[in-house]
Amino acid sequence: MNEEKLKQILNEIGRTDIPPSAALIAERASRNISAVLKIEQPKHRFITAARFVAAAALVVLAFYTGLSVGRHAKPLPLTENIVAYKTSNANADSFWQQKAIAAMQSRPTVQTDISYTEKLNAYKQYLKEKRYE
Amino acid sequence: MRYSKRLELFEKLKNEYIGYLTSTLWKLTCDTDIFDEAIQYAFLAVWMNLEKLIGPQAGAYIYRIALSANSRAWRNRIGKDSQVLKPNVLKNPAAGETVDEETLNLVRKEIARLPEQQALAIVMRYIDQSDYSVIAGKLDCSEDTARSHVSKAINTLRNNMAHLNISES
Repeated sequence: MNEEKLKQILNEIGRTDIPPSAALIAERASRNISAVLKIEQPKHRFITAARFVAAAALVVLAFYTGLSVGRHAKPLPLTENIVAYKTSNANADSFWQQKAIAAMQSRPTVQTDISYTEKLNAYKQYLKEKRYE
Repeated sequence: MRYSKRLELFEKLKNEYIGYLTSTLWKLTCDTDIFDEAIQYAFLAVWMNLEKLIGPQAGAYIYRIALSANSRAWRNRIGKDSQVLKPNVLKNPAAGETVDEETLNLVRKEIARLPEQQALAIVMRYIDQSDYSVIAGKLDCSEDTARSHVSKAINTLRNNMAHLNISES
């Protein structure tokens, strides 16, 4: 096949008429793909990957902030070192003054380590004894 | 880009290019089955490459999409022995009109097998009847390069069809 013949064939291909059936096929394909894409539309989720990462980062940040604040916090001042300035000489040992000093003192902790074995030989008062007492 | 926005853009581009895609793909296939398959591939490619179709190279990219869809549809229709699986087209080579149709289909098949740049150039030049300046603009090259692509494509087609013994009349 020579070049001229080939060009003639190519020009003939270029002049091919488009039948109505081709337009219909294209329209149908267009409608089908639009319908599929609308069905496949992803649902909006509240917990997305970005939000999850942001929340995790916030938790880690809060943890380390708390840790660093705790490490650098000063211990509570002892009562002996506190200089309490009297506002009035007349009420030096007043109720509120005593209350404030008491509040600044460390509170005793609750004794939780009770040994029940010590009570094994303890005297138990019977009901009868109670009754005729 | 949000999905709803992509969908909106896709509908807009689809309406814009449906005429061009229908025309080009029909000319390159001239068969309802292959055309149906090719147009579906083309729409899918438009959906997957929306970002490229709103850029400055959109004009050239739609050609690429059309040719890629055409090649893919033809590949699916060609058997292991490289014969088109539509014997009704090649049935009666004795009748003059059928031979012409046969030749046209063979050329169409060979266009689908051309390298991308050559296929783009030949489709723009002969299927769309564009000038070399337009082809050069869309391929982002000089006019001489565009001529070279067309010339190479014709040579490739001639070489590929040399063994077919098509009548010169």
